[in-house]
Amino acid sequence: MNNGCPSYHLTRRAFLKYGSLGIGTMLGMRVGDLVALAAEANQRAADHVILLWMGGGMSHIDTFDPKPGRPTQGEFEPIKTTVDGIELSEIMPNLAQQMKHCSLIRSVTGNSGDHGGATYNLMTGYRRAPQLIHPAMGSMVVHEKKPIGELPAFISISGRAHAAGYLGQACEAYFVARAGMPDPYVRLPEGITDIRAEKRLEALEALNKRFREKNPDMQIDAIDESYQAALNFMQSPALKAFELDEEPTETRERYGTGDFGRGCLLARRLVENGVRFVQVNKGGFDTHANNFNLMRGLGGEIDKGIAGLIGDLAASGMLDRTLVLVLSEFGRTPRINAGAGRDHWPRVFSSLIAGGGIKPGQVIGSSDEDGYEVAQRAVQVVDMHATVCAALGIDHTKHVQTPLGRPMKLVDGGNPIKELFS
Amino acid sequence: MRQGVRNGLVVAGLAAACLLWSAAPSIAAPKSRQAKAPLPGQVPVSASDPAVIAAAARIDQLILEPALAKGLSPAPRCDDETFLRRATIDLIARIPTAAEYEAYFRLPAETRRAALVDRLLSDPRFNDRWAMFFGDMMNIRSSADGGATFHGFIRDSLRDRKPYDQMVRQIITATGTLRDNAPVGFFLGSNADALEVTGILTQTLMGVRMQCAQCHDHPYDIWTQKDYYGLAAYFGSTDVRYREETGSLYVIDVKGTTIMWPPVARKGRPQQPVEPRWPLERASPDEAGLALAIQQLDAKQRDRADHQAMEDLLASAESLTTPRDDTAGMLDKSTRVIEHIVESERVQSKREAFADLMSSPTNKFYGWNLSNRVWAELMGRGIVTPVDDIKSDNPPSNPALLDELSRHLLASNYDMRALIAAVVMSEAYQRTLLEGKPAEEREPYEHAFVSTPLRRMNAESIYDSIRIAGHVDGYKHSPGRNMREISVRLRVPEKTVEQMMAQRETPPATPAPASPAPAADPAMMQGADSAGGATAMVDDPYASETRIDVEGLLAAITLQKEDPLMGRRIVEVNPDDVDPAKIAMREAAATDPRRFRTVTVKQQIDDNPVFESAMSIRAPAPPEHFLRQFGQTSRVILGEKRDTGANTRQALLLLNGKLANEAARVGDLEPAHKLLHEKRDVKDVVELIYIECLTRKPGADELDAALAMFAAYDNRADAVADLRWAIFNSHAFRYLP
Repeated sequence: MNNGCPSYHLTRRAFLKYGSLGIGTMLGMRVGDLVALAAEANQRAADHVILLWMGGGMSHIDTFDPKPGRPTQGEFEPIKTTVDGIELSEIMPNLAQQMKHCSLIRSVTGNSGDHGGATYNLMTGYRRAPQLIHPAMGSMVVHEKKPIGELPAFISISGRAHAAGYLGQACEAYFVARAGMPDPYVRLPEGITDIRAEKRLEALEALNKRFREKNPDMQIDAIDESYQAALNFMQSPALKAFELDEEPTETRERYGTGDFGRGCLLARRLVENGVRFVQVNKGGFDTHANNFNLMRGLGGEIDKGIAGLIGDLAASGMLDRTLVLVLSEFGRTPRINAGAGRDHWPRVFSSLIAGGGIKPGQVIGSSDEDGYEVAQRAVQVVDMHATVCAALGIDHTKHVQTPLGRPMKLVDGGNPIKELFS
Repeated sequence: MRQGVRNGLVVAGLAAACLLWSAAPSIAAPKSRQAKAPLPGQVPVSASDPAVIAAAARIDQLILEPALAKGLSPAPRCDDETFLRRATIDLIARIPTAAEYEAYFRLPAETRRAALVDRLLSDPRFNDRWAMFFGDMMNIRSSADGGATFHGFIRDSLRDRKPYDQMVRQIITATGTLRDNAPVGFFLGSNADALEVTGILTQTLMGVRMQCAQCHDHPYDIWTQKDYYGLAAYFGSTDVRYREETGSLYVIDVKGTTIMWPPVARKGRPQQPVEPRWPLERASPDEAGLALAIQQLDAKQRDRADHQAMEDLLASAESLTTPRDDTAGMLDKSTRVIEHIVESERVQSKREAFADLMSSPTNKFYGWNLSNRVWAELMGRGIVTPVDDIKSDNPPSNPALLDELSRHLLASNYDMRALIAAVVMSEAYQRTLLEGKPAEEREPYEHAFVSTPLRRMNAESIYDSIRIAGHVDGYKHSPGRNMREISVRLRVPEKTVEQMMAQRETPPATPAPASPAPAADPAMMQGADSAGGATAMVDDPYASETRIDVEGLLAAITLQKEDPLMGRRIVEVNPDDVDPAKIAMREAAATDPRRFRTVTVKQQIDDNPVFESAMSIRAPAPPEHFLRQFGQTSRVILGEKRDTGANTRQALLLLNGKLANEAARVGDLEPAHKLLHEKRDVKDVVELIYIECLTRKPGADELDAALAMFAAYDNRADAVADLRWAIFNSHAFRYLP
């Protein structure tokens, strides 16, 4: 296989070794150098993706596509942004300041108004099928792009990513339950010192050496490589990326101290350490009742997180190589129901995209004056997937093989949104 | 993350819930009128039965003749230790204990393998392990509507040694509620969608992939969309209904059919109901020309016989208008229900017809499918592979062998144990691996079944083997030996925080047990409960190794409490949706700070962990769980294979996880501790560890290495822990010998 997944970074089977070697660096280089090197190798294409997933279906009208003066407007007023002519909902004041780095797509159109079906479609670009699990966007990216550094190539925060499906175990996301919470699996168990860990690994290597000689096999090599990758991960200086306490209080507060804000901060630190694809999940957008009160709270949280992330990436220059994408299952009904809520609305909804070399300051497409239908330039879900591929320099029309040898399109049709790449 | 309050609640109610669960399916009475009754006084099959020995001998003959003709000489017979480990893992999904090792070697050498197989066939874990096999095969999810009860039905069928085809017939023809008739769980799980049911049944029970033909003619096979609709028509009258009064779901056959042709109405081509039609004889493999003829003849006769059977059914259906036995009370209340049932009996014969056609001995696919799947499970590769894709251009590698297995299965009246015993007692099963040869050189031998391939234990077996080898299936530390203070985060209703804080000031006299996950203080849980709702939760960082099926157990309690007569709809959520839902709940709570607050409390616990068996963990487990990471499938996709590939997460789970490390740590109640305490020779200790973990004594070089290792430790208990940890992480542990 010529992809990055099966072994994170080792090309040879190394003896299991803990500690003394300081395997945290490879070829004497620091991870930062490796990240820079990867960037140099591919000047034009982005290297990383941060997907901010709004679970439950986020109201488009109350966020990215305000409808001032219309009966569907709801409780929020539009506010000006750093781009002339682009307005956002008042619940996004911080993001409005970063609008100059972003573009909006106000004409995404989906095919499912059911949470399961829509999530599946948005996450994979495919519709659900009985015989196959299609891979998550993140799995697809790490299948196509070689890993950088020692952290897992695909990390999902505050919720699970969709499965890797036919791309296999090695393209699954590493799961971080809550950003900033210690992960017991990346450190030695309580009471086990480095010295004992070395003894354990020596004993293990003695057993495995005997087995390997008797049973030369690729599946055994794959296990050895997975252990080496795990040990490298455990000792990697890049593991510091998970320690959010290193950030100044001001920064942490700017992102917001809730799970989502911490997730965004962690996402930034992870891509700085070479992680290819980070997905930050935020739930609670299924606002069938009490939409406006809920959206005020949710908006406050995502506004700070997204703005903090884009602002910092822009300031450090990382934004050019990092595509940030805000996606949701669907939008919500323009009509406001009796419980001051909005229901599921897949016919038109919005997405925000920034960085990764795309042209900022644009609005792609539009919904009609009340936010019911696409008015101009419909963007299909698969177009979003093709756009991610285009930003990363991946040919979205290529095929991959399932384990049973069935060829599958990387993206199920669709075209990159060309306005973003002019 | 497991919720602390619920956790405690469940631990308290665990025994009761388990009793309920195992009791529930036995209430179900087989309803099918044509089902074969279990043979009276059926004698449990034994590995030393002449029929089993004869079948094993024929298996070997059918393997050896073509292999020798190709110049492939068979690998030697494995030794007794290897057989003990291999057969125990395969039959009951865990490695043997030291006690089982000793007992095995006390048996006379010439009969000990057969005696072992007999013991394993009657081990209660055999039923769990092979229910897992059927769970994978039929995508039985304990979270789906009726899934837990359906799983219980399969397990109880195995326990009762019910013939396989009787079990299958009960599933295919089931009507009524879950409480009445557990196998309706199959139709509940698929919502009785005739097209979906057809895809599942043809692929899982006949090994034929037809599902592509649901939407279009099959691209790589002979099936047309019309064939598919003809088969689906057998289930076109079956429906799932919901009874408001009792809140129960039930499966029923109704007038009319949902299967119409053409699939979509077009102008000038109105849709017509599709008549059931059996297309499978067209796919009978060439060498079975005779069988084809028999089958066609048989089908013709059956057409006539079915006519007669229908008349009988209609006549007998009238008698059903008289309310029957235990359901009398319910039937009295609703004549509409009676009408439904009568109608159901009329049209149920379509499903009976399907069951007859499928299980007819002339339908090779039926016997081949189970034989091939069991063979693949025990031998590491199928005679047809993939096991669910039998077709003319993917023929069996050894058709005579597959026929022989099917014949044996049929002759034993579809006794799973007879089939398994014959395979396990064959020389083919008992061969060694070809050592020292690269995969390409091993391949022809393994293809011909004259050597054993490398086979990794499945996820459940790895989990339960570590559990039993490390003695964490029960308490291994005396009470009070592992006291420590932990921080527990609780998300609790605001109004109870003060109340709880007040209670914290008087620490409990006895520390709460901390198993399987750190549980919340019972006093606090009551506080939260009485204040209205179990809303506290604990973030258990090790949840991906320890969590048990809380939802399922709670549902079982509700089931008993609220509807003792009719069964109640078990409201469960797809496990893949559970956590997003919980996350949403948590987030909602976070955005409404008036209602909830997070409190971190210090708590004294006795860290004496006990791990539940993998067999009691909800299947499928959540995606990040140990079992899923080691290849348990989502059981959502038809024909999904267990992925035995390696990943970093697996390595981290075994390197740093709680199960491996607690199992490695020495407890004062386990045998190794006794040896250490008595200052016995290190050799004895090492030998015990090897037997407990690897089912063999150490080789001379391994013993030397272990002695050298122990010499470097001041504390021998640490040396034992580290040796054990290394073994749990090793290839030799997870690969079958």
